[in-house]
Amino acid sequence: MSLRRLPEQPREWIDRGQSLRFDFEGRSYDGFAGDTLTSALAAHGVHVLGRSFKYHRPRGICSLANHDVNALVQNGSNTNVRADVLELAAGASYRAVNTFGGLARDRARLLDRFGAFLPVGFYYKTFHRPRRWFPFFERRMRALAGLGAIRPDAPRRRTPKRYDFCDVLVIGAGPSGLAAATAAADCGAKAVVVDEQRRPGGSLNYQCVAGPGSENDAADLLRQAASRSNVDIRPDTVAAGCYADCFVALVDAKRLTKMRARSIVMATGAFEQPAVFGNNDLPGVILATAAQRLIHLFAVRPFDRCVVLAANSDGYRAALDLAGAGVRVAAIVDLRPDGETGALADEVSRAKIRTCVSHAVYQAIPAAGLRGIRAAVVCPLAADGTPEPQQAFDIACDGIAMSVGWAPADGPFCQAGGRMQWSDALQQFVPRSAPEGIFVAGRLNGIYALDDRILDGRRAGLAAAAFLGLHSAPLPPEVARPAASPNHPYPIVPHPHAKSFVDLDEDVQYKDLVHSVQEGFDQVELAKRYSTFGMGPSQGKLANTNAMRIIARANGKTVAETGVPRSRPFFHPVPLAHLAGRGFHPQRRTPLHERHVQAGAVFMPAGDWLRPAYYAPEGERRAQAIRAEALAVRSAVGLIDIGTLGKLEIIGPDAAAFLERVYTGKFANLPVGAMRYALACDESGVIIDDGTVARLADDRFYVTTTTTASASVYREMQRWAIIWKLNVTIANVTGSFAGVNVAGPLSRRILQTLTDADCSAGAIPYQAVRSATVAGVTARLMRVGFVGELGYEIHVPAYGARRVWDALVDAGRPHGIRPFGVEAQRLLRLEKGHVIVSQDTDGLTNPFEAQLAWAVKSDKPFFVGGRSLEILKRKPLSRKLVGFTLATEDLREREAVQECHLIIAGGHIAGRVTSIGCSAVLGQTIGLAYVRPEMAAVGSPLSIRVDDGRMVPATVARTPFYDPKNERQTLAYCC
Amino acid sequence: MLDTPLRLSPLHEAIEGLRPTWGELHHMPVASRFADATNERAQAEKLALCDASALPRTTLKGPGAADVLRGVDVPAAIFGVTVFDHGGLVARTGAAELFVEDGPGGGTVASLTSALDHGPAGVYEVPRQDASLLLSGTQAAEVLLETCGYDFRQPAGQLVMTRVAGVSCAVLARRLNGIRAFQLWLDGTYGVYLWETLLEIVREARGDVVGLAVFYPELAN
Amino acid sequence: MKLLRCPINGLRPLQEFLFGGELRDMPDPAVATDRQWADYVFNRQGEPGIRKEWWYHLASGTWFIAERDNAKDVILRTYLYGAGGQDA
Repeated sequence: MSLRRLPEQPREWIDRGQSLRFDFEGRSYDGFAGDTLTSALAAHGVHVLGRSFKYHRPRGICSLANHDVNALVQNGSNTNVRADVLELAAGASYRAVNTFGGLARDRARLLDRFGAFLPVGFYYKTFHRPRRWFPFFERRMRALAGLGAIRPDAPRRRTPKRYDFCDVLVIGAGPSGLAAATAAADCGAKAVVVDEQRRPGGSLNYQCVAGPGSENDAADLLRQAASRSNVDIRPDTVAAGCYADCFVALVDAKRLTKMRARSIVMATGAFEQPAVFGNNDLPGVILATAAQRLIHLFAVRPFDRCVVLAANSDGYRAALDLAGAGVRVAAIVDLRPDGETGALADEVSRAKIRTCVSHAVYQAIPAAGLRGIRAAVVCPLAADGTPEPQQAFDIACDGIAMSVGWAPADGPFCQAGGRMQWSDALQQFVPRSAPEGIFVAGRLNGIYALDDRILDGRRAGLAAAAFLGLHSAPLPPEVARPAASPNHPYPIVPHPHAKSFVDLDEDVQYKDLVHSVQEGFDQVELAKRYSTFGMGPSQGKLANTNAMRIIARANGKTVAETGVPRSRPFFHPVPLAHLAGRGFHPQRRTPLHERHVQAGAVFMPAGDWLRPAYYAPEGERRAQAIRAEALAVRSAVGLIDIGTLGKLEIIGPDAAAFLERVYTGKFANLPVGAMRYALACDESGVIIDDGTVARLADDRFYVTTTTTASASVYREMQRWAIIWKLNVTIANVTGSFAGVNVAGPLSRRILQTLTDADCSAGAIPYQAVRSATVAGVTARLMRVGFVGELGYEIHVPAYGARRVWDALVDAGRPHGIRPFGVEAQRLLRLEKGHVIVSQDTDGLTNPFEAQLAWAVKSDKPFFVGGRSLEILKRKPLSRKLVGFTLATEDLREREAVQECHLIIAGGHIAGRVTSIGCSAVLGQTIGLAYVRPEMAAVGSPLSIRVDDGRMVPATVARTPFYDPKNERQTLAYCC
Repeated sequence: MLDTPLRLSPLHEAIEGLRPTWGELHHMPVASRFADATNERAQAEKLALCDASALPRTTLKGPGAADVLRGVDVPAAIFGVTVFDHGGLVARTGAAELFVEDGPGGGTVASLTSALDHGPAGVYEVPRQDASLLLSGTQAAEVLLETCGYDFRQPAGQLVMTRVAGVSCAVLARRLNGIRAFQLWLDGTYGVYLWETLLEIVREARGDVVGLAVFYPELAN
Repeated sequence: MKLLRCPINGLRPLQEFLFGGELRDMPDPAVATDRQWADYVFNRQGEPGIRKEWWYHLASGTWFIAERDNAKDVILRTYLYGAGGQDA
């Protein structure tokens, strides 16, 4: 058996039948299944487990409860793994993180000697001048003070998230949590109990290990809870964050579960707190509960010879446990002036353990190489609690177990909206108020005796059941808090020379906090950021309370006035893979998507949609493809999928009146079978959308919107209809209708072959809408002019889209029909000077600035934005949208100009380019831009500043650039 | 001669690659099965995904909508559902809005369309081109737990409008041909995304696709 | 994550909803001065208190009003527009 392994313990977690071999820092050891890495090493007497963050001092066990991160190891691509709770795996190989040359010979340990040059906030005071040296210093410091290394090539692990639901979520499976769950379940509630430890039971497993036959046997409480079919106990599960309305993030090894409970019982217990004295960070200085965990859970003798620093009964219990495990307990050093009385004190004196009442540990004397300690320096305390070091004496020991008090684990409670208040009597925070549905029990509630914790848990469980309407009897009386506080008010005896640590994660010392206050960072949230206490991976679990006490005393204030920093999720660090989950990214596709894929489309995202930007079936370059597509439309015929457009049906007796009020134009007088451009503004007169309105019947309109605004326009229309109380039905048929635009001089000819309806110019004039059957599918035909050629939009029910597309491609093949994408369409409409809302308009553009004043019919009684437009019309314009052509032949210059480049005049910004494109049919580069009104006259010169600062000349031009009389799209005759 | 069917499910190409046996329903190709009948049923009872887009359906809006559905027991409460023996259903989706779906042999939807042509004023038919999925089996609720924040483990017996994998859906717990299934209806343009997302989760849990004939045996050929 | 009770769909998590801004009465544009109109268009009430807000349930397309104490972030009640009694 290894050096420190004990014979079988009644509650041990190890399986002595399964021996496992593992490596640590290049040396081989063995342990048992159920050991953690730390406990297996401790069994071999290996105490140095890591090097500290800043000074690279050796560190060992502190809490063994996952409340500290002294032992962080790396195993392959798993880094920052906590050795204290990492279950041993056969054949695994571990190294400590953040060392230079290994744990034993860490070269950075020299930093410990330069502590004087590294005071609190040192990086704000030194190492930043001369400025050009700062990057060098920064890299060195980051390299020295770091944690584990990540491997960018580590494989992606999917850890899908999951929702879950329950009536009562109990956080903590200690005695109060188990009692709460049982009580709630007995009232019929569905209870889930979570605990971060590997097995439920909490402190029952290592602190109150009562003998057989005890009524409060841990196994019995656990058996009762587990036997209820409506109690689900989940160990190894952390309540990482508590959010509004009992929504809790539960994290286990596999996944993150989003639990929606109807009520929560917080039974999260308390963190045992360390004392502050000289060299209190060395291996061998541990919390008393850590020693008890080692003994009872892992059957490991923590030391050969130890001193117990106590300020409560728990310390005496721990001393007896240590003695029972074969440790020579040299003394109990009791901080309290009156020491301990009662049964435990008697047992301790029967065991012949020396007690030094009203004494403190002043310093731990390091063993050689700082590998541990070899003695404790103990000194008496005067009546007022001040230490008297001149009367100090040494006690030889290789370990100090501290039992000086607790701090409630109130993080989850506070995150959920609970408020705590300081209790002078108890010397800890206790709950003051809780949101509806949240209940507290146990040590979190300031209850310490085991029997009381069980009663308190039961009460909380019944209260939760009552809240859910499952329990109507009156609740049992509240459990009284203990008269004697188990928490020492100031377990801090700073040493003048030896480092006295407050936060082990961040290597923050007592004097760093005093200096923070002296330098003006005296408020606790400021002192935290300046000194970095509480900012490490353990987030101040073992540091916040002592820091608060030190800061309060340095300020001459009370602890109640000082407080601790606010606690936020997560309770423990959560792997990023857990947070990522699967990652749901909804994507919308038109029914023609696969047709585009087969045609060689290169897609671009447009909101949630995927749209073909251009087609390159033979690997054509982008510019080539766009140019060819645009030319095909102008000279023959092209086909574009416009299914992403928003589509709405406005139906009802008030449909026309409704549209009159929503849009800037007039629709009441729109004849059946006709279509009109529609412009929508918001209440401030800013353009929010445009589209078309087609009248299918007196009481039925078919409205199109832009792709990206379809959902918001629909929503706003729904709201307006409610407010105006009009008799109108609005249906969002964006996904129900697919749409294709066949455009070009040959478009009519091709369409006619697919329908019996008369497609002649007389039957379907420009801006007409007709019902027809196309390729056997019921369709709405609209003659449109967005790209400036003879063209038809064919809207069909989505199921029929592929049929119509295939038919058009088939019929158009002899005429050279080809699909064109968004980029070609953008160019074609630009040649016509057509505005694209949210490309050529921004969040402030009104119709008067954007050449759209014609669409505003101010003689209507009311429309959204009308009153504001009336005000705006009276103001002078500050900018105008104009067309321009580039006045340079230099190809590089022409290609350098892009959207959002600025127009500069007289050294000031005078405007901005909103659209630009190279027009093959015109042989020019054209665009749209905002300019100052005085620069808007046709022929005015413009200067556009491109990326490298050069100015490219341009000239204001009339729009449309192409076919200025719009003859091609309005074609009164058709070929 | 153009052989593209007049109606195609939004999921058609996604399913084509899985090589089903095809049937047809109202001019739409339907994947009636992927494996033999016994295996399909066993799979459907455990965990399966199926495309139900082909079933005829429509929405009626207007105060007179219930009257147009002569002889049908229209639910009074919003989101209430009446299920018919032949597999169709009527759901109230708003104060004056009804959703009707037929089983494969049903003719309610077709008769409504013709009734409305010369029907009462104030009743409008709103076109629907949903993607509709059936997620069936004893493990179906697990898949929903990964994708939806609504607790489906106590099925409501009524239509639930919620978000599944980030997409708005209507969900109904049903029993078809003795098999428990959740039917989802959503905007067809999100259909492929939801199908692929759910199928990945279903497959990870050792489920698979099944044909519509498992739920509507009259489609078996 | 907060829960919100849609009057039609019941209690749902906040992610199923969209915030629609403050509930405000529009002054009569024919009568309001330019200043009064600009105040309506651009200004909102932000001080702590009970606010009336528009909310939209995305999956079902339902607009409703929520009365919320924006200091305590507690929702007092929700109702369909017109069913609350105090709006126009």
